[in-house]
Amino acid sequence: MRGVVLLSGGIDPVSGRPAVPRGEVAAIGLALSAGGAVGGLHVGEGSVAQRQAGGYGLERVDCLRGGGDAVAILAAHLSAPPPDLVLAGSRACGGEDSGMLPYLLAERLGWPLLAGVMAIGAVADGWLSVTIGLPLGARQEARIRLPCILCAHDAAPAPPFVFDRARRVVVRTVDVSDAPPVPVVEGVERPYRARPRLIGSAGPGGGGTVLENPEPAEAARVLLAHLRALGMLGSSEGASIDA
Amino acid sequence: MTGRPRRDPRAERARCLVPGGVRPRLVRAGWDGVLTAEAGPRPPAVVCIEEPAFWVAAIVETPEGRPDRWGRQVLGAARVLAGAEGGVVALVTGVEAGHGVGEGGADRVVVLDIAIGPEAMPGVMLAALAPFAPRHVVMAETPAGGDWARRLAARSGWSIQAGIEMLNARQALRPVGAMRRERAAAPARVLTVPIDRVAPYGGMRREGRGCVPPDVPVLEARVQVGPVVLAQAAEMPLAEAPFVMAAGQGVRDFDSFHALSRFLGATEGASRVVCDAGLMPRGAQVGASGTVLDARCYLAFGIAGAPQHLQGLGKVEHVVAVNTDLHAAIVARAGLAIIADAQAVMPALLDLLREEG
Ligand SMILES: Cc1cc2nc3c(=O)[nH]c(=O)nc-3n(C[C@H](O)[C@H](O)[C@H](O)COP(=O)(O)OP(=O)(O)OC[C@H]3O[C@@H](n4cnc5c(N)ncnc54)[C@H](O)[C@@H]3O)c2cc1C
Repeated sequence: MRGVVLLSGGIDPVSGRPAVPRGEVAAIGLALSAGGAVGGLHVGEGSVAQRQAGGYGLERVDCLRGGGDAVAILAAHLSAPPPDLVLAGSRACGGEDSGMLPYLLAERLGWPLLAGVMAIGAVADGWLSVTIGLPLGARQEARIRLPCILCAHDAAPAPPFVFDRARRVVVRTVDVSDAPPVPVVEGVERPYRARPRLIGSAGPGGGGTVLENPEPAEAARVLLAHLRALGMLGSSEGASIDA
Repeated sequence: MTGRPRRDPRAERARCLVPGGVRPRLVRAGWDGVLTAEAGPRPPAVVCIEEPAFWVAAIVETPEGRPDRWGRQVLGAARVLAGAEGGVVALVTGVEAGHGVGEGGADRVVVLDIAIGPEAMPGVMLAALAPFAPRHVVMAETPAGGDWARRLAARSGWSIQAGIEMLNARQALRPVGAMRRERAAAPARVLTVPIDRVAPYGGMRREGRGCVPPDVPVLEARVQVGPVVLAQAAEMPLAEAPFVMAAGQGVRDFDSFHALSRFLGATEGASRVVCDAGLMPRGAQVGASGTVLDARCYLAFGIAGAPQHLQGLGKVEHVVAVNTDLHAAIVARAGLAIIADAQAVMPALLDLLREEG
């Protein structure tokens, strides 16, 4: 299977230096787990971040140099001989960071897309089975028709970084024809200012109930009633049998 | 002299004075409220709107039948964008959906089938939204909501602002450039809100009139999703677990602790001292140098609540503590604190659970 990982050329949120975003590292891990040749694809000039992506296991990174809409450039490049699998992170880190690129690409190529992928399974009859990660550790099995686009879950297992591989990765620059320009984004941009979240029922709310030196049985009763009221004991029936 | 009419405070006072009573009582809201209030409780008023100037859509997930905190915030954001003239239509996905959506601020409600797959969702949403031609569509930046919003924007070509952190009718603000910069712009057609960024609607109840959902266009499915498998508490990653039960220095009876965690279906955590002593694996450490929890409930046995430990509880909604020290920091953070010996409470709780079967 031929896999392609989309690299955004991100920056580190703290230092601002080029770095591979967490989600793209996870995407490289997924691509490697699927087996076969895995290459990276980046629209724009190559930077240190593309070499670093090599350190996570990519053999080759192609940098597509051409002006205009990145989606159009990628779509043209990917449809020449289409790969089986295109992987991306959940969102870029250092640009618009909207997470729209894989969706626009899927729409343009007419390929199916799944987001939040935790693991990749086997291929059968042109269908790839994947595991999707949901909140609170829940998982969902899914099947998707190849060729397809998958967005990696940020918590998907990340491959280790090997410095020597980062030195040996082949970064190629490919000149492509210009695509139509993207409309300019409006608005004023300025340095980020952290704003406090709304204070709701969550968070450190002092002044709870305090029960001083109760009998153990009384304490147990109150505790159990409290946990029940919070709805935390719904799914424990299965667990209580083998305990 | 300006042409503005002058106030007459005496006349105003006379108008506001309620007759009867020993001491003078002024009601500034006018007569209506006073008379009806004395006539008996009024049914809660409901705002009905027939032909709003424009529509704003909110897409609300209701996993438990009614919108949760996040869902109410999505409705609140839609109300902000709708202002006084606009109407809010809520597309609700979930079982027994539609309850509490009017209180949340929706004028119309369309219930969508929860079984619609991710691939068919944008088509169904566009069909449901078509009669309203909404000026904006607001969703939650949940895994599902974020996915739908992007699919919808990609399919329709509408502009999108994902993860907005501040919103009013004229501008939306979102971080860009790896959270190092932010951009303020006029609200886009599609918006997603993270949790606790926009206040829920606090005004008078809205009608929430039900509308017929559209016929689902049958699509050649290229994606098949299976059922959701809930995680087993024991093997769940600590960072994702909804219910964590943790041991501190005050726990010596680890057999009861492990038995209890199995019974309650809780994931096990520990304070650093316990991990340092080798009584629990390092992966179980909660706190600044361990795992930061995303749990809904945290049950702490014999944990003092050092600042480094409490940092790991950042987002936890409900903390329950069992500790011998009334003045421990964890007691101040807890919704329920039991001042007792953990070695006595744990077996008692086990007995009670066994008794109940
Ligand atoms: C740089 C740094 C990083 C750190 N990072 C972390 C971290 O990530 N996570 C972390 O947990 N700690 C961390 N610590 C350590 C932290 O400061 C505390 O030392 C530690 O959390 C205390 O653990 P404890 O509450 O279990 O123990 P103690 O402080 O000893 O508290 C024990 C508590 O149990 C109660 N108790 C005693 N006997 C009983 C009984 N029989 N029944 C019920 N209650 C009883 C006591 O009243 C007391 O409140 C860090 C410290 C440093 C300096």
